[in-house]
Amino acid sequence: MDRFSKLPDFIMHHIMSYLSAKEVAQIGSLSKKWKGLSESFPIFDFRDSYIHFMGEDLAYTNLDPTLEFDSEEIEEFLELVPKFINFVDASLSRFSDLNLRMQKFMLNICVVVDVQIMSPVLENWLRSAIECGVEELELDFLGTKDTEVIYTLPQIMFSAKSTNTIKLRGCKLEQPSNNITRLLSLKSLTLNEVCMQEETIQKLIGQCPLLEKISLKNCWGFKRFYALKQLTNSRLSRFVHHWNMSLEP
Amino acid sequence: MSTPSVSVNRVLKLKSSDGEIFEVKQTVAVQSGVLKQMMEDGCTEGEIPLNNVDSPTLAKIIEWCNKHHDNDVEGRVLSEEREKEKEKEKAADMKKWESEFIDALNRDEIYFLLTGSNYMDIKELLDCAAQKVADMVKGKTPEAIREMFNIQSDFTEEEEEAIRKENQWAFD
Repeated sequence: MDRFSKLPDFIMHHIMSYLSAKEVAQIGSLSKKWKGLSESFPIFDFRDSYIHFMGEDLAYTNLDPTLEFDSEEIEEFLELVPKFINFVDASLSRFSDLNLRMQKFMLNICVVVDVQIMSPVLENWLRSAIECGVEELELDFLGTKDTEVIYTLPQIMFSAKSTNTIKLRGCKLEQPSNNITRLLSLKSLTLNEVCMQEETIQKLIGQCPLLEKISLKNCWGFKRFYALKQLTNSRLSRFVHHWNMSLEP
Repeated sequence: MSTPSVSVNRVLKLKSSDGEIFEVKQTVAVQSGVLKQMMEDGCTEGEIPLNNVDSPTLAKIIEWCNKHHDNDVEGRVLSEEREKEKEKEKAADMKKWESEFIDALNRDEIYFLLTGSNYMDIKELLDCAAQKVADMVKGKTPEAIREMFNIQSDFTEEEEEAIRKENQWAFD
């Protein structure tokens, strides 16, 4: 008897939360019931995806832009990129048709991918996630510290009004262009190796009414910043920062 | 934290769907969100019918709760540092016990454990069972998963091909 297909959807989704995005998509081919479960699954966790590109050996070595990749490996990797983009596009588009709320969107992007090519793609993914009311956003641009190739997050980031947790690594965060962020639900902000100006941090602290925790680690692009005034005015209860490098790049 | 209405020596009488009575200490039963709520509301007199949980499953659930309860109350008098060390050891022991507990169950038993722990609102047990099912699925072909769970595909060949094409990255 096919008992497991009769479990309530939320238990099935709980089980799926222990699977990778790839495995979730695979079980969508089991039957119509499982296809529906896979399409309505509100967690988009692509953090492991680059492992499939790079092969495990490379993925676990400390990726940095100066690392020499075998040209064959890069070619193989670049062939997979359009397939991966199509896959994420299709998953997001199916999910947004269902009018459900997204819980998590998590992505690791490997530096071998051309940022110029990825920019519009990433902006579309971010827009979709934000339009689905995503609660947690995590974007990791593995180990980019090169100002030439660093990815600048699009302004749409600041309109994520349902998002309560944001984690960013290895990208550039510019000031909100219209001076107002709409990060009205943001409680926890973790920035690791993020390049930004002092004003950007000040604005984020000043304009996110629910911000409780901000963590900066190895961030750069500013000389100093004064957060005390905002800190005493806000409900910010935890402020963590670490620097292992000089403040000016 | 225990609530004022929970006492160490008092027991609850739980009645499984097939009519068997199980006695469980109140201090153990608080792990179930549903039973905890009933204790707080003071409505645990007499037999508590658990209509969605059969006796073999309830026995397993109680075994789990007893084990996790024992783990909670031991060793509170140790020094802080020693306690930390002990906690680590105990966490590792518990992990081992949990995996042996769950690995000994067959698919149907895991299914009933999922529904039972969900019904009684025991989060850690639900997590453990869900993780187990996920582990069973990992690394298997769709065909092997269908066989394992007795799933009949209701797709036409064309439909299945379309799914594979749309999710090509996941099937490579």
